[in-house]
Amino acid sequence: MKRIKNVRLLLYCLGMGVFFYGCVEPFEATTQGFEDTLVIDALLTDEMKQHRVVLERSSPFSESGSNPVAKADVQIVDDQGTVYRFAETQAGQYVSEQAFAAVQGSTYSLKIKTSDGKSYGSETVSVPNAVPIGNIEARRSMNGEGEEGVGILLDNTSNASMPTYFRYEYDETYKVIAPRWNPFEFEVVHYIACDTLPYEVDTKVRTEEQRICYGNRTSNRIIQTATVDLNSNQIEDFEILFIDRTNYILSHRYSIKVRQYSQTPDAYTFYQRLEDFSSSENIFSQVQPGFFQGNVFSETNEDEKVLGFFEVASVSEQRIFFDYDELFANEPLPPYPVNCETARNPPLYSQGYHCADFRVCDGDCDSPLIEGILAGVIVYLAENETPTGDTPGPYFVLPSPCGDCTKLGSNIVPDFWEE
Amino acid sequence: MFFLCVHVTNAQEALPKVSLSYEGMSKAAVLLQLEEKSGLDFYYVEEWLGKEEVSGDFDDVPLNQILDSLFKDTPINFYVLDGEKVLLTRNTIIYDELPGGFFGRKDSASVVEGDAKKRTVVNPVFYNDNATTKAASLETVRIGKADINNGAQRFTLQGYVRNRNTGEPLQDLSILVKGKGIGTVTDANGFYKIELPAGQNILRTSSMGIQGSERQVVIYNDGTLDFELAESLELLDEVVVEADAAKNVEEANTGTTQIESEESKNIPLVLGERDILRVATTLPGITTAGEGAAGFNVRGGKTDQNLILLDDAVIYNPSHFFGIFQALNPYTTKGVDIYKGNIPAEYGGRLSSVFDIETKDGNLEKFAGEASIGPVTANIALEIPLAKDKSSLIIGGRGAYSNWILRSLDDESLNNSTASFYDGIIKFNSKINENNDVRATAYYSRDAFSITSDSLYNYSNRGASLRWDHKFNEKNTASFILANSQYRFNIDFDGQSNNDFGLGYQVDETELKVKFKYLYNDQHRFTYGLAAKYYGVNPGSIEPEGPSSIIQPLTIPKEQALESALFIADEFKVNDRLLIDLGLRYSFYAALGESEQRIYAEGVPRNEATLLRTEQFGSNAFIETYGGPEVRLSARYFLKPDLSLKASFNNGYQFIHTLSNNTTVSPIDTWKLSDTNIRPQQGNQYSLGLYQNLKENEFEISLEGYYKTAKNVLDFKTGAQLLLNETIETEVLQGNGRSYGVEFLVRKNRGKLNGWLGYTYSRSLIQFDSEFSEERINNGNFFPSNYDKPHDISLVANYKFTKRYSLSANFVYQTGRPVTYPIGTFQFNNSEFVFYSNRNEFRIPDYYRLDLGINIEGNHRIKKFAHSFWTISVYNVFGRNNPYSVFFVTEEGEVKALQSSIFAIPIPSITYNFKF
Repeated sequence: MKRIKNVRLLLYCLGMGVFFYGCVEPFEATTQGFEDTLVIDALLTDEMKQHRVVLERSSPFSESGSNPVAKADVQIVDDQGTVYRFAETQAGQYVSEQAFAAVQGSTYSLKIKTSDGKSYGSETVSVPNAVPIGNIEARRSMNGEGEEGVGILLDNTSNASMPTYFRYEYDETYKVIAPRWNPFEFEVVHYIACDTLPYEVDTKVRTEEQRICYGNRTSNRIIQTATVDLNSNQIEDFEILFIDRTNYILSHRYSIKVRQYSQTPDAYTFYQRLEDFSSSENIFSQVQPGFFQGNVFSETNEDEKVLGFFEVASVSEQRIFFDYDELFANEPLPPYPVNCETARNPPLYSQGYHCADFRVCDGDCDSPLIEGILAGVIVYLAENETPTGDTPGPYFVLPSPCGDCTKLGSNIVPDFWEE
Repeated sequence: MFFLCVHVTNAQEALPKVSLSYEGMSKAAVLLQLEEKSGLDFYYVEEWLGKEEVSGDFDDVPLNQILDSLFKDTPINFYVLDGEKVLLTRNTIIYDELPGGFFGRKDSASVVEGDAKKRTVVNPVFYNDNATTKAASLETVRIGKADINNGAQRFTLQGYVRNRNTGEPLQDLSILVKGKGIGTVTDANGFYKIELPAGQNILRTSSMGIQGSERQVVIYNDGTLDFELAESLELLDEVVVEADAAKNVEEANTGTTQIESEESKNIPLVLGERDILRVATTLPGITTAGEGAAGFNVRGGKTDQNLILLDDAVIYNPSHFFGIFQALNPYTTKGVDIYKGNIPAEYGGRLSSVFDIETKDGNLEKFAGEASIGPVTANIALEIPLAKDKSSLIIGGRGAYSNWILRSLDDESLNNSTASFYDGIIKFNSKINENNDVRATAYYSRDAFSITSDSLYNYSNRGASLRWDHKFNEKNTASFILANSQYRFNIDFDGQSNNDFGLGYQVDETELKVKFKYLYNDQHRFTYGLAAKYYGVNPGSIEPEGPSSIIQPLTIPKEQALESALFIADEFKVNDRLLIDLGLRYSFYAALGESEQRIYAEGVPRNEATLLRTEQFGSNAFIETYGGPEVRLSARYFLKPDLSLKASFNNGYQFIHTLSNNTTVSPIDTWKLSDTNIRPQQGNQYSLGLYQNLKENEFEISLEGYYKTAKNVLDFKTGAQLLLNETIETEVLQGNGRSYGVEFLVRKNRGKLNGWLGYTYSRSLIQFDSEFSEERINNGNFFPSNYDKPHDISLVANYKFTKRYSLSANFVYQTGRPVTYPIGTFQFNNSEFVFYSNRNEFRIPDYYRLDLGINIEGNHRIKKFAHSFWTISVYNVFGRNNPYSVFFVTEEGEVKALQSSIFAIPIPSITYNFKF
């Protein structure tokens, strides 16, 4: 019963208050009995393009980075006997030599031969029905925890007689406007640490676009739904994503591209298990985890564990745009991610700094103001016309995202962007 | 026999004949006249004679005839010494000859041939003062008049025990004979009957809530002795697990425990909630998978292998809030008998244990009640007499008011959570007459919780039973029991999309049981009867909720089954040392139609591809039958009067199983009946133990070992979906279980300091082997179960400073339970995941916890309206963050290792109880 998964029973840190004192806390895991295993991540879609297969090996905990499997021979074979060869573009990444698309009615399988002579294969996979995304809507709504925000909801309809299974990915783009953008920026004129010459900071006109930028986020969780328990092959108002209304990404104009993978039932189950074992629902009862085989296996040694999946999917994509005003007319904007209200006044010199000669100085030679400018963490707000004991610095400054949107996004307008 | 009689008669023949007439005179005055007329000296204590006035008229009859008449129906005997002195004795007979065998000489003359009544020589009762100096302060009661014609070595003492305050009969009060290993328990009417060895006996009574008493009884003949006992509040302070003091060494069964609800009140438990089931887990052999986990693992058995009965009705999930609280009202619950070793033949259908929970009978005399207010729940119980001395009602109610606490918290994610529960019970008991008792119980408990605003979970237990106890005669009694139970849960989902649904599950059962007891003789006591149970399971249904929902309604077809059994048991006392309890049970199970059964190819994994055909079964047709004989054999042998050796063997069948793919029990686990594809579980248990009571049962020591095997234990393929699965058999694995252990328990039952210390070493292993890798777990080898905790130490102690103040402590240490731990991480679809290999190869850190409590009794002024009782306790004094589980989640594309714990800091609580 999959939909129950939506019901997050998470009692994270029940510790609050009088009732429960339980807690969920991170701990440093170490690998017990690590097994070095081949991981196959292969996706073939009905899009005409060069498809990609990633081969890696598993890693123990706390070991960052991937262990690519290089110099393997990778191919996809269809039921007509056509072989699509893959070439390694970078370590562990294999891209088909030619562009091709999975065709309805055909079946495909994956063949891999690694450099150590072992061969691996996949089950034969057919192409799931193509189901176009019907409609994507951004709707002001409440989430399961009762918080207000925007739900990105999807509809589709399939005429197929069998239930349909879907996995979703999304790509968000949103306009970021620096709230305290100023046409001037700092220019460090003279700064040689412990120099007898005074440090000097001036301002100049900004040359780079730093007021309006475009932020980006992509999905990083498994989003799935199916029509298996429904009486029609119709997905309605399925929530791809919920954005809390306090999230600044909603502030101006927002766009999301949803990519729908129509899956085979096996692929759907594989992702479901992956999700089951990598999310916690309820601290009182936990799903019994264990090894689960995808549709890839070793042809050399049937006892060898192989991780991953060879997925064949039909893809449909759709992008929508909306403005904050459309959903929250005349309502205050969400708070900016940094506080741009309180200006700071870093001094040019550290307290007690004095130099008798070059590098013959008392105190800290670092200039608090200039170090902040060089580190890119502050932006110009205004000159301090009357420096006093409390505000000795020459300038009032703000955290850099307040005046420089490139800290939160790119200043290049994406080509798909529509105003 | 004859020989002795002759002597006695001869001795009295020489007495003078006297004529005497008296009317309305005291016996003392009569004796004075006799003294005068016969010229003999009488020696006696005047108080013995009493104030009763007697009349009589004798004309020239021997003196003894007058005395016989005078002392008829009194305990007075007389003896004429040297023809001049008359000695009156109370109870005792003065013998003029030493009894046969007094000097170790065999006196063949003492047995007269041809005497139809085979009796041993009358060994007179010697009341040895030296032996009783210790008991000198005891009230001594003399029973019966020694009858020189009665050569019995044992006499029957019977009588009633009543509450001095209320006059109501005291049921289940145990009466024990100190140091002799004899005891009995009063029946529902407060009546008892006990065979005492002739002579001096020290009788000790004990019962919950009743002041213990000791009385020295010198018994000369069959007689009656009624007790009136006072209620005691101070006795309640004792943390005593069982009422029947010598049971430990005496009974034949291995692995039995009794816990009284009242006695558990001083044991500090989480949030001040009194919980006998939680107390049970401090005893060897009974564990839970973790703190706050529902379900019990008894001697390495699965949580579905326990038969939990509340007044004969099965309770499927006796816990609230995932298992943190018990779903029993502590005030209406009298106690629980737990059978974890040899299970009596009258019970069946579960492999590991029976928890037989009994509700109190209501007070027959006066209205009474008890209530408490704690941090999470409020409880109340009322006892309402309906017809004085005949029938009464007990009503209990309990509710959690945690909802508003959750709502008032600042944390937003908890603002929308709700968690509430309640339970209620009502029991009617009526004594129709001496021979008939009727009891009826109805019980309901319900939990509802929701952590997100779009879903609501709820589950409920229902139980009802009707019991009629009938006494045919002194030897034959019967109980007729009709019980019905239900467990159900529902999930209501109300989200944004078009898939709002309501999902439900339900199991119902109705049992009819007839049990007879036949006390054949001193050596054989039979229990026999039959039981038939009907199961109805609605394995799951889903329905759309709201007009816009396009959820396809689905109902998994109903399952039905009949489970029945015949049983007979004989408690056979072979001799004074050896007691054998032999039980036989024949279980028969039939899965009933209407049903469609899927038949799969043999010898290959079950899946869609290996499905051969489906078979249709009509309504109530037998789909599949299972069953067989079950043996429940145990024996006790006294090595010494207070040291016994016991051994037992039992086997059983279990036809209903829980389906759960969680590592611990969840309220949405379902119960599944055996059918064509799912076979019943079977188990065997062998146990052997040594039991000793020291210092008049003040200390009890037991050491018991067991070895258990099981087959067809259920488990599931990795990632199985169990709810609403129409082909559940394709996900099920059935394997073997093996567990063994040694349990040591020492208990101090009395004194200022009392409590117990238990240590258990045990293992619980399971095995799922198959020639197909998809049906194997851990390569088909035995591996530790989720609840395998080899070392387990429990200490429960209570120290009474004064009658009003006591301090109690509870310490637990357990090996950490096994968990399945990942063997590495991998990248897939731009996220990092963990992967697992063998199950349960890692253990979470060891568990330990200390709880302390202070109990304050209100003062005991009689006029006071209510007795109050305060409990102040701190749970987890060390603040030890005991991990409950470890798990690995992928968040933001990265693996995070998390550990959860339920109560990670010391939790103080205060509970106020009062009784009126």
